[in-house]
Amino acid sequence: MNGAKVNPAAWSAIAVLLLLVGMPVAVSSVTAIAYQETSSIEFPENGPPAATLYDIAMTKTGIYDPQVDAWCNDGSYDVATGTKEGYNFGEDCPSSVSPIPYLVDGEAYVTTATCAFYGDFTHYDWKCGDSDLAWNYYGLSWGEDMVNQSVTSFEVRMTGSNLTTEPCDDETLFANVSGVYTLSFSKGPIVELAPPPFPKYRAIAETTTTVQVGTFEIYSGLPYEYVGGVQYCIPYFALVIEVDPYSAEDVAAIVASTDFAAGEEVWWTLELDDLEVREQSVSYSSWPGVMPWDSTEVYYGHAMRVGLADQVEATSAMSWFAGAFGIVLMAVGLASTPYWDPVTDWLRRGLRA
Amino acid sequence: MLDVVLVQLIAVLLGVSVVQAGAKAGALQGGFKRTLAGAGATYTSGTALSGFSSTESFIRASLDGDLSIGGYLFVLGLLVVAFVWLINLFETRAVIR
Repeated sequence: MNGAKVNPAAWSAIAVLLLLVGMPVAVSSVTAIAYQETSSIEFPENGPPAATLYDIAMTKTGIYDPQVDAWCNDGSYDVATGTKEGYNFGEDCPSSVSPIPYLVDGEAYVTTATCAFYGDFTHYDWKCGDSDLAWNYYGLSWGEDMVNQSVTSFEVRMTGSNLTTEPCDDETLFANVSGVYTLSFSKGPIVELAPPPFPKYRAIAETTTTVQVGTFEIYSGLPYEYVGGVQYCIPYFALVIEVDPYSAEDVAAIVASTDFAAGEEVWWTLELDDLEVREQSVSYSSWPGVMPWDSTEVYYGHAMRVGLADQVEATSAMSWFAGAFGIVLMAVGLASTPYWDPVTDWLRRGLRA
Repeated sequence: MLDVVLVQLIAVLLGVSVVQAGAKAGALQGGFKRTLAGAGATYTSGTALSGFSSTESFIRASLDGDLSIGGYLFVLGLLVVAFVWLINLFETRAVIR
């Protein structure tokens, strides 16, 4: 005990190293090992994935400006005076939509750091922020649109190639993605989609931007979180497609999620009944005569993400590690105080008693 | 919630300890430097614990009982370290003695 008393600062330094270096490294390592042992996403050859299917409504906000090919980030436009403040289309507004998936009590949700359009007929603004804004703007909900267009099911067919699927490694996941993605609807045209050059996304904070008729964006993300003892690692692809709402055959948007093996093609059919909109989807339509751009172009968008949760079960190794590390921390913590002796004396007396 | 509080508390204590260690060694003369060093160390520590590792999630899983008794021991160890350092801070004006 005297040794500990002599130099509690040394023990404190050890505690600092344990907390700052040892703990993060060890936790990440033991978790990665557990992932290798227990992760499970299984895709049946033809059919819905066996893994838990999460359905998420993702609000996608903003109005696409076809003239400048950009979503506007922020600013305002005064129709009466024709002045713009706070932004410059096409320059200051290169991107606005950033879907951020997150998990609450095992349920996956998506929030967005986006821009909102609101205002009246004389003045309107763009505001960026999270999705807590009041979405009571013009528009139809996803469900209504789908029902109105008599689309009862749709099929997402995705073919991935040259995919890196290192689990839970946000540096390598989706590093190289190519392939042709086909989206088809049971009542509607088949839309052939070719992916753009796919950047190396790092994590969920990546910002993705514009979507327009006939094109799409791929979102990728990597929620990495424990929920209920399970570490969810959800690599996903998200397809968002916007179409002309006045085109009866087209449907708004789909964001689908999967985890591909290289060269593997997976597909599944999603019934609308399986999709529960948890948040209000938002759609938009321009106001003829008010919009500063081509008022004949009407854009709206929905996004829905259907995610598969790959998961890591807590293993006994993790529990053993946690216990051992906790005991070491306690010992080192108690040693890092000049009051070590009183504590141990108290313990000693207690043990004698 | 406790997991976040615990991580942030430890980060703050680590930040304070860095400043005190620097001051003891003769560095960080002046309030500005100490404030800057403390803030930087706290931010770095918090980011390291919560941003670049699974530590926070791991703590949460432990608190939820998913790692059984080992998880509780883990959290207890963290609490002991934080508690001892807080006692040090209030009794001797230094996190690390």
